[in-house]
Order: sequence, then C-alpha cells, then structure tokens
Amino acid sequence: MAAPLLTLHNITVALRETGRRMVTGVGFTVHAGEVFGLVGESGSGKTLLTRTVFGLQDDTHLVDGTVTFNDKTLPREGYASAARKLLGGQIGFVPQDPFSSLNPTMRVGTQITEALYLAKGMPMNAPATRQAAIQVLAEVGIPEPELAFRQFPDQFSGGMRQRIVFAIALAQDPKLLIADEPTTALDAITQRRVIELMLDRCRNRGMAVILISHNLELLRQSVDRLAVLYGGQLHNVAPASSIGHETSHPYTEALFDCIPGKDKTLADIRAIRGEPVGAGFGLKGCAFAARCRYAEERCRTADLPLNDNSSTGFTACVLGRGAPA
Amino acid sequence: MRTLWSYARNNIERTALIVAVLVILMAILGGFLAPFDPLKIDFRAKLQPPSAEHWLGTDGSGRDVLSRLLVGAQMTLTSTAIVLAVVVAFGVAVGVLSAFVGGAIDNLLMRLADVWLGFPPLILALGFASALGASLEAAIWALIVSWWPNYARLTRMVTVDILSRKFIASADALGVSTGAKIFRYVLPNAFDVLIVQVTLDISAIMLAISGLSFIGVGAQIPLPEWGAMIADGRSYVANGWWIVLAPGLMIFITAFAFNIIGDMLRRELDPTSRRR
Repeated sequence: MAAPLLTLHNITVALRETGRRMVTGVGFTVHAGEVFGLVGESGSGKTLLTRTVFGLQDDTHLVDGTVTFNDKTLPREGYASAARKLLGGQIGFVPQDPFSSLNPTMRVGTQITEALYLAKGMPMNAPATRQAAIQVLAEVGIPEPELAFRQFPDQFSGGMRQRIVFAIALAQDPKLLIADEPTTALDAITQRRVIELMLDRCRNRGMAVILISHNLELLRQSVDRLAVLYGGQLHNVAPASSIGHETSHPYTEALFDCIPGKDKTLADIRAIRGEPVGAGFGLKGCAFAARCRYAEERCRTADLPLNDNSSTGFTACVLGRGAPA
Repeated sequence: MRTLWSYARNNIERTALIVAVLVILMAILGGFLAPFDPLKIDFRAKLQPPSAEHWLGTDGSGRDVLSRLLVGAQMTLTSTAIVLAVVVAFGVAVGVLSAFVGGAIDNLLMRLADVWLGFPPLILALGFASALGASLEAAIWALIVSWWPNYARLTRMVTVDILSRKFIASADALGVSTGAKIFRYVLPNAFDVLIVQVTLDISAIMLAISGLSFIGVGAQIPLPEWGAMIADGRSYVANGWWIVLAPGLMIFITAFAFNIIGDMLRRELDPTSRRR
C-alpha cells in the first residue's frame, strides 16, 4: 500500500495557559482519496485535535507527536505557522456553521474567486476565474450559479450556504478536505443531502476527506474508516462497514447500541450509563472504564495502548476487545 | 443615495435629507451664486436691512451677508470634511493596528486614547488652537488632534468583535493575507458602525469649528466663516439683528439636519439600537 497522505502519530495537545493535556496519544492515518470519519461525543476533543493539528487554534499547542503530510514531517519549531501554510492550497477546511462562516459583506462570487486566487494564483477579476467559480457553484448544486455569483450570503438558506462554504473549499482543489461537523446547523434531510453531495464530489476528484461528527450513524453510512475519540483518547480505528457486524471496541459498540434503526427492536437500544468525561483524561487508564460493561480492575490503571499505524485498524481496549483479525 | 432616502421614516427625516443636500450644494456652488464679493467693504452701504439688492442685508462694514453666507458654507463644510477625513483615516488606522497587533502595543495605544478622551474635545481643541496661533488652519489642526481617539477606540472595539467572528476563522483556513483581511473582511463589516459615527460627528465638528471661530481662536474676521460672522455681528445685534441671525440659523439648521440623519442611520444600521 502506498504511503498515507496524512499520518498522525502519538499526538498530544495541551492548553497553552495551564499546560493541561486535552488530547493524548492519538494516532491514525488517512490515505489519498479516502473518506475518514472522526467520531466522538461533545467534548471528546475531536475539534480541538484537528484545529490544533492544522494550526487554527491559538490557545492550544502540540506537546508531543509527529504529523506527516504528503511525505513531509512538519517541524516542531513554528509548528502552527508551518501547518497553516498547508491550508488553502493543500488542505481545505469546511467550517461548522454556515450561517456565520461567510463574510456578509462580500459577494458569494468574490469569496470563491478569492479562494481560487489564494490557492492557484488565478487573478480575481479575470473572466476565466469567474467561469471557474461559477462552475464550482454549479458543481455543488446551486441553482442559477450565475445569479448566485453576484448575490450576498444572506440571500441564501442554510443548506445553500453550506454548499457555498463547501464550494469555496472545493475551489481550492486541496488534497485533503477537513469537514468539522459541517451539517450540525442544518435539518436532518438537508444534512444527509449535503453530506452525500460533498462526499460524492470529493470522491470524484480523488480528494481525501476527514469528516468530523458526533453522529456515528451518519459517519458509519458515509465514510470508509473511522476513528473513535473519547475523553481525549483514541479508542478505536475501524472500517465503517465492520461496525455493528463484527466485535468492536466496547465504546464503539456502546455508541452503536444507542442508535435506533429499523433492524433493531426497542430492547436492542441501550443507553450508555453515566456521564461522558471531558477531554483531558490522560493516558493512565481507559477513560471509558467507568461506563464500560466489560470493565475490569486493570482497565482503570493500565497504560492505554498507542496506535502505531501498522495496520488499518486499531483498538485501545486494554482487554483487547475489537482487535483487528 | 436611494437607500438613504428609503431609510427615512417620516417627513422630518426626509426634510433633513433635503436640507443636507441643499447645504452641500450651497457649499459647492456658493462662490458662483454669491451676488457680491464677500470680502468687499462698502461703508456707504453698512448695516442695511434685508432689501431687494441685499437679500440678507449688509454687515457693519457694508459686506453683503448673503454672499458671505454662501461662501462661508464652503469654508465651514470644507473644514469639517478635512477634519473628519483625517480623523477617520488616522483613527481607523490606529484602531485596526491596535486590534490586530494586540498585547502591549494595543494597551499602550488604547490607554493613550483613554487619557486623551479624558479631556473634553472642545477644551482640548481650544488649547491647541490658541497655542498654534488663531486661524482657521489652527482650528482644523486642533480638532484633528483632539478628535482622533474617538475613532481609534471605536474602530478597535469593532475590529476585535469582527476578528472573533467565524468567517475570519474561515478566511484563515483559506490562507487570506492580513492586508486582504483588513480591507476585504474587517473594514467592510465595520462600515455600518463607522458611518453612523461620522454622520453624527459632522454636526459636532461643524459646531466645534464655528465655536472656535466665535471664541476667536479659529477663522478670523473678515473670513466669512459662519462662527466668525456671528462673532463679528455680535456688536451690532441692537441695530443689525440679521447679521447674527443668518449664520446662526444656518449653523442650527445644518447641525440639526446632520444630527437627524445620524440618528436615522444609527436606527437603521446599528444592530444594538434596533427596536422592532
């Protein structure tokens, strides 16, 4: 197998102010053209991890671990600015909230031509750039893209705005697209439609995607592989197709068990007892042990295994549940 | 222009807009419309009441009041425009710099502005103007020097707010440079707040210029600046009331009109004062 596009190894993210380690020992790989999911409850550290790894968060920093993108390992000195240099051309970002992520005083078209200029050096006012921008708008399913080009963001609905935000990222033609809860502000049907369209366009272009969500069901149905985060720890990396069919990591299993589905009866749906822990649990002991059905005494004290990225799957379960066959 | 007209909710606001346009036209065309030389002294025709020849009468030295009023409009409004332009440019630059750089420089600049704002601007301007030597130029400089912290403060506040919004984070993710961020992201979004302040300040600065001239540290007689005209006409109030009344009314009407427009813009553009 070819070298992965993005490799995270033993990533530890800490708050600058207090030095508290919020995300500990996370490692996974994303291959070119792969759609990779990152799932976790609110506060599990998924946003903090990605924003820090890609240099967008000012109040946290990387205290341990290496990030390799496109065969180049990012330096530890001046990490954030080195990571930010990749943004725009190599790595695209689709933000969480389409309602506040567009500049309200800039026409939709200008925001796309600006993205084209920044990523590819196309002059912002040239007819060719304009054409390219209109084409991207059409590609994400905006009706009447010529008209949309001249309009302002407030003239669009939430779903349309999410498409515009996506069009801006798509226009830059990055190797890797990071979508952080891109649809949380939208209703369920629009969510599904936008995600499907987004992944379809990315797959067409051979773009790798990291899709971040708290919605396991949404990810399970749309990504190739996914990583499960809990309490700032990486618990599981598994092919999406295996979840629900093969034995998984206990936390992944528990998450899957709370999703209602048409092949499940009410008795199959099980809530996870207890309260979720926040990010920053550390590496001593399994963060999920307090809520886990299988937990044994050693779960609370053992060092959590780290993902060495030697295979496509990984389980951090101390008991070895869900280990790839 | 059409948007401005559409903001007007009642006849007072419509009148204010019309008056403002007329005053600006007067300032532009005043020199051509003036029937007499505003500086020409004619002692044989002094203190004449309004008549067919001198519509607004003549002053104590026989100068035509209407001509002086028309040319004075240009003088007063141009001075106001110069003060505002420089103050806004400088204040906005300081505010944006402060917000972008942050840290010690931000603190230094803003505390300096705070100290500056501790003095009433008119008193501060009075001091500067008399130190610079009484003239219209001195009054303009004095007002520039005493007015900039308002805009520095306001711009810094608005910029900090804009920088915390999500579309700035998106711009970062696209790789937008700092310069482009200032001109395409921050300033257009700060425009609404700034334009309201500018409109309200038109009347305040106009009053300040006329006030300084009236006190005697601004434009000097025989220059037809409105404030100076009132100062000059003061001694003739008993037998030449029109000399003071004409420029006084002009100052009042103009300041009133721009104030109403400012309040109207604030109502329409400033989200914090929106009550619907």
